[in-house]
Amino acid sequence: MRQRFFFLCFLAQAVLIQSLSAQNQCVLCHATMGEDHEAILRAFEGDIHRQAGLSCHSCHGGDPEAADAGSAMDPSAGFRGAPSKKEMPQFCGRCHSDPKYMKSFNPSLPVDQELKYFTSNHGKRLKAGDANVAACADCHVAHSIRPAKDPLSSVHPKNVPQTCGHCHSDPVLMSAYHLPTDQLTKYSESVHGKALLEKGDSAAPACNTCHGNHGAVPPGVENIAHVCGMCHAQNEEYFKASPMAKAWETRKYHICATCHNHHDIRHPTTEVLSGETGVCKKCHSSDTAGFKTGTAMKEKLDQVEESYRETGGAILAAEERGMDVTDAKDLSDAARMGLYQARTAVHSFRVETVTEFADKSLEAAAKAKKAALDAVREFRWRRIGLGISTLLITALIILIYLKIKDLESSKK
Amino acid sequence: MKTLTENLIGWLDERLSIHALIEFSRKKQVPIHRGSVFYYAGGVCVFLFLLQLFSGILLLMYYRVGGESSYESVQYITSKVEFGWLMRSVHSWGANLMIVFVFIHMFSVFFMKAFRKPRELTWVTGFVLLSLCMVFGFSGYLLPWNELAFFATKVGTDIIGQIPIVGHWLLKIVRGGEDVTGATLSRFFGLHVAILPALLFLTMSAHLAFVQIQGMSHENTAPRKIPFFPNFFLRDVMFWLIVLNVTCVLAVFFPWEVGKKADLLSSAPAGIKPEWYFLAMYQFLKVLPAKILLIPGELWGIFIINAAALMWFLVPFWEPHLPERKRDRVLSLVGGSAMIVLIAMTLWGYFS
Repeated sequence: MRQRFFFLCFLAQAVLIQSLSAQNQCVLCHATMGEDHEAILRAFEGDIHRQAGLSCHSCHGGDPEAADAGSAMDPSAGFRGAPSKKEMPQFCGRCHSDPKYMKSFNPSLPVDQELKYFTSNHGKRLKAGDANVAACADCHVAHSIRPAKDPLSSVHPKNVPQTCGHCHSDPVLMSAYHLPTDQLTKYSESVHGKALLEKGDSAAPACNTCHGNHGAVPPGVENIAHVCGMCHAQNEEYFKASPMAKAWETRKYHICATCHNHHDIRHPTTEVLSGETGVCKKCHSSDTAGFKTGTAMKEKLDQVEESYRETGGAILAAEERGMDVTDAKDLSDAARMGLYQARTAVHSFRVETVTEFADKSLEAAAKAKKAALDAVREFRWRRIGLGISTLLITALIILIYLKIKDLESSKK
Repeated sequence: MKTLTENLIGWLDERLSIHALIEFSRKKQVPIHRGSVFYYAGGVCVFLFLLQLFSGILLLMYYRVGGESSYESVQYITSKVEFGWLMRSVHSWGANLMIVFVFIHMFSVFFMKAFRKPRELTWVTGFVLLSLCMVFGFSGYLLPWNELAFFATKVGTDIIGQIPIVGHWLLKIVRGGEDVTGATLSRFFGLHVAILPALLFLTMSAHLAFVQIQGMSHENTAPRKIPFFPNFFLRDVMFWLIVLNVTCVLAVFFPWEVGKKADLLSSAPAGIKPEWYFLAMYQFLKVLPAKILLIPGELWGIFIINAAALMWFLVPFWEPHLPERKRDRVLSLVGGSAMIVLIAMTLWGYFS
């Protein structure tokens, strides 16, 4: 059994090398150069470059048809070898920065990665001679590069936090830059991290969504609102029109992070506005108008949430009885929409704006609850109606039975 | 002084000879024996047909056929129309019960050997009625245009496409194109509300006429007989009322769901199966190997199912040719095996 297994492994490897090595001397030689080289050949099978029909010499140059190593890897024949870290952006950029060449493979692929990379902190430091920063192959993993939409790719949204965390969670590596190493842990516990890593929602933001891909930089005080506002546009709009915006600007506060934090952004409940545990008290003492506004908004939102919860319970009760609750669900959806709008309106820091949406939600929730309770009542009526009609039909059956008995006994 | 009813009956009698009809019913005798209880199954089928007709006509008042209106109108019927939920559930449950009783009626006739000469044509029309009922069920299942119905119809009609030579052509006729679309819905609707009721009514009329002309089987061997009217008729009504009660209870406690609207572009949900009365055939086709003697397994399956149905249909014609002393044993064996295979395959299909 074991022998057969090893034989099959050998066969599979032979087939792999055969498929790669059709007229390719690079593969034939490197396949005999130990486990490391074999691993590269195996990994390259799934590489996007291999899928696009490229081979070793497409990146490393040289002559793949030459049988002897000297001719095959002759620099005068165009052999470039393996790039150093410093050479890597130009090495990859030779093709990836060439729009004409890239168009022949994928016209929609951007060609500004190299340009952006040198605007990033990674790129700037590399240019300055720091070989510890990330270059292309650190994130994309040389020889097993897959497109970002491939779940096995190191840059697939679900894998991005681990890929970045590989360096940014390393205290030894980060100590030289005086950077914290808890971002990955904080992110994993955040509302975004849970959505992406636990629920598998690939639309949830990963590191690159806020920091950028090739031009990765930490967003500063001035532009953090734009970063969050890419997804939370309405929140940004409300905030900028709010009375708080000016004070924030004067005090150089991070627009979003001051209340919601950086990487450990928790799911915001109304407790954020609470006088006891909320964030408002950081700046507003209990006798200020700001504190009172926060408390009033919290009370309104709590009322809406409670009403929405009750509606859900009523709908469930009707559904469990097999009743049609389409209308109640439509109204409940409207109530939920109102709740979300009211929550978003908190960023206007105006009680009347929150109240406007909250009242809409309360009205829809009340109608939904009524529709659901009507359905439950209707169900009871149906059962009573059924009971009465069943009794009547049963009485009729008994009467017919007695009539038959009477008919047949009188005949006897 | 004559009462109004007597006057009315007298008026009708002068024109339609009602008394002659009543006298005929009184003279008509129904044999009473061990298997008499199965006689009611036929009557229940007629009752359920009338119930389907009644509830179907009411549903038709609100149902609007079309890819963009069928689902919405069924939703409207169940949620907005007064007693619409009841009519829809009664129609759905009635259809299922009707097929149950048609099967009971058919097997009871088979085991009582009531198909024998001179009742061969009664059996033949009965078989046609069963087939019509199944097509009725299949066509009606699609009409709410929900996800389950859509994919069950897709799977069901796929089988037609497997028939050699004419399969693809037939498939296109049934579906109104290559795929199950709004065109399929329109033709299933036409079939369900116009063609099938007419065919079923005509065949049922012939079936009932044959029963009247030939009388009941076992008439000469039964220990006692009762008049059809009122004795047997009242018993029939009693059974109808019991079935009506059961249908109403099922409709109230297990209302038929509207489900999710059919989405032509979505992938089939897991565990999609046809209605229970097609499950035995579906399971049989499913368990056959991909190829048997280089011919696709499904093709063998279709051939075997059709051959078995044809043998069953022709029972009254081949059975008399069996050796007399073996006839009863062979019939019991054939009927028993058919029943066991059908039940076992249906259960297997249901639980697999």
